[in-house]
Amino acid sequence: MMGQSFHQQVVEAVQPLWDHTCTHPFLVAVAEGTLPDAAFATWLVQDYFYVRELVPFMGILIAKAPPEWRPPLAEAVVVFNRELDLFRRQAGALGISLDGQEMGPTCHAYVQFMLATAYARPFAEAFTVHYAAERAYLDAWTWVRDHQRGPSRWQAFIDHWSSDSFRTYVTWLAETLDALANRASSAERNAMEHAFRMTVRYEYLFWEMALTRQMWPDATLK
Amino acid sequence: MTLSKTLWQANQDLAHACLEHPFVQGIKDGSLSRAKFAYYVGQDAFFLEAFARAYSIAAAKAPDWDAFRAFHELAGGVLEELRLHESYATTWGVDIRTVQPGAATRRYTDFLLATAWQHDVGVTAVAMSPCMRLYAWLGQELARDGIPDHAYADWIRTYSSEEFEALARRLEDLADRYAGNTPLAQQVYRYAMVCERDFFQAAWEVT
Repeated sequence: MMGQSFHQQVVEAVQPLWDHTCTHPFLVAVAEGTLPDAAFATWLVQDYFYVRELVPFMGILIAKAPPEWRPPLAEAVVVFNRELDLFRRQAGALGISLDGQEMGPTCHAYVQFMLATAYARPFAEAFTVHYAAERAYLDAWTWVRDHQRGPSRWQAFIDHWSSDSFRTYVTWLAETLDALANRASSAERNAMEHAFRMTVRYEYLFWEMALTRQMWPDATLK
Repeated sequence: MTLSKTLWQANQDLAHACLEHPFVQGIKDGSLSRAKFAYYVGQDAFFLEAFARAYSIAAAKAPDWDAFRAFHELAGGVLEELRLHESYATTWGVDIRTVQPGAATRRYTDFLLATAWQHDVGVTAVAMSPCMRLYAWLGQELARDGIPDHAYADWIRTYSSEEFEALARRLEDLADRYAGNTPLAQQVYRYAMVCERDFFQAAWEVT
C-alpha cells in the first residue's frame, strides 16, 4: 500500500477493466476513423444528457465540499456548461438532432447512480465518482489523440478532453482524492474504492452502449 | 380517473410481462427453483432497505403533517416486511445483512434514492407506486384460486392480503394528492415498472 498514491491504487484495483475502458473498441474505431456515424451520434446524444446532469451532480458535491475545495469545483461547472455548448455546436455541424431524444438505459442508470451517491453518501465517495469519470475521459481521449491516424471529423471532442487545461483539472482531482483518502478510515477507503469501481463499470458500459446503439426495450414488448 | 389509475393502465404491457414472467409463474405453481428464490429474497431485502430510506426522505420533505405521517407509516410497513424477510431468510439460507446488490437491484435503488432526494414528494410517491401496486396485483392474481399449498405460499399470502392492498392505496393516494400527470411522472412510473420486470429477470437468470 505504501508508496503508491490512492488515486493510482484505485486504478490498479480495477485492472484490467480500466485498460479495456480507456482503449475500448469504440475509441479504437474513433482513432482509426472507422467508427460508423450512427454509433458516434448515439454517443454524442447520450453524453450530452450525461453532462447536462453532471451540473446538478456538481451542485450537490459543492454543497458538501469543504470551503477550500469549492472554487475549483464551481469553475468545473462553468466548464461543463461550455461543454454543453460544444455538444450543441458539434451536433449541429454533424447534422445530429438533440431534440426529441431521451436518455437510454445505460446513461439513465449511470446518472441515477451518480446522483444517488452524491445525495446519500459521504463527500469522499461522491468525489471519487467524479474523479473516476473525469480520469477515465482524460485517459480515453488522450489515448485516441496519441493513436489517431490523421485528423478526425470529431477532432473537437478529442482535443477538448486531451487538453492541458483538462489534464490540470484531473491532476487537482487526483491530489484532492489522495488528501481525502489520507484522512479516511479504512472502511471509508474501501467505500471509495467501490465507488471508483462502480463508476468505471458504467464508463465501460457507456462505450458499449454507443457501439451497440443500445435502446429501451419498449419496442420489443408486444 | 386518478393519476395512479391512469399510470397503472398505461403500463399494463409491463404488468403483464411481470405476471407472465417465468419467475412469477414459478411462484404461482411452486415450481421455481430454490436457488432463484433465495437470490431474490436477498436482493429484495437490499431493495427494501432503500425503499424504507426513500419513504423517510419523502417524509422529511413532506409539505404538511398528513403527508409526513403517511410516509412515516409506510416506512413502518417496510420495516414489517423486512422482518418477514428475516424469517424467510432463515428458511432460505440467506443472510440479508451481507447481501451484495446485483446490477438490476442497484439500478433500481439508485433510481429511487436519487428521485427521493431530487424531486418533490409527489414524484417520489409516483416512482414508488409501481412496486406496491404491482405486488398487490400479482399477489391477488396468484391467489385467485385460493392460496396454494407449496413452498411459496407465504409470498402469495403476503402480497394478496388486504393489509398490503391498503398500503398500496395509501401510497397511491399520496401520488394522487401531490403529483400531476406530467411527462416526468409518466417517465418515472414507467422506469420503475421496467426495473420491476428486470428484477424478476435477474433472479430468473440465477442458476
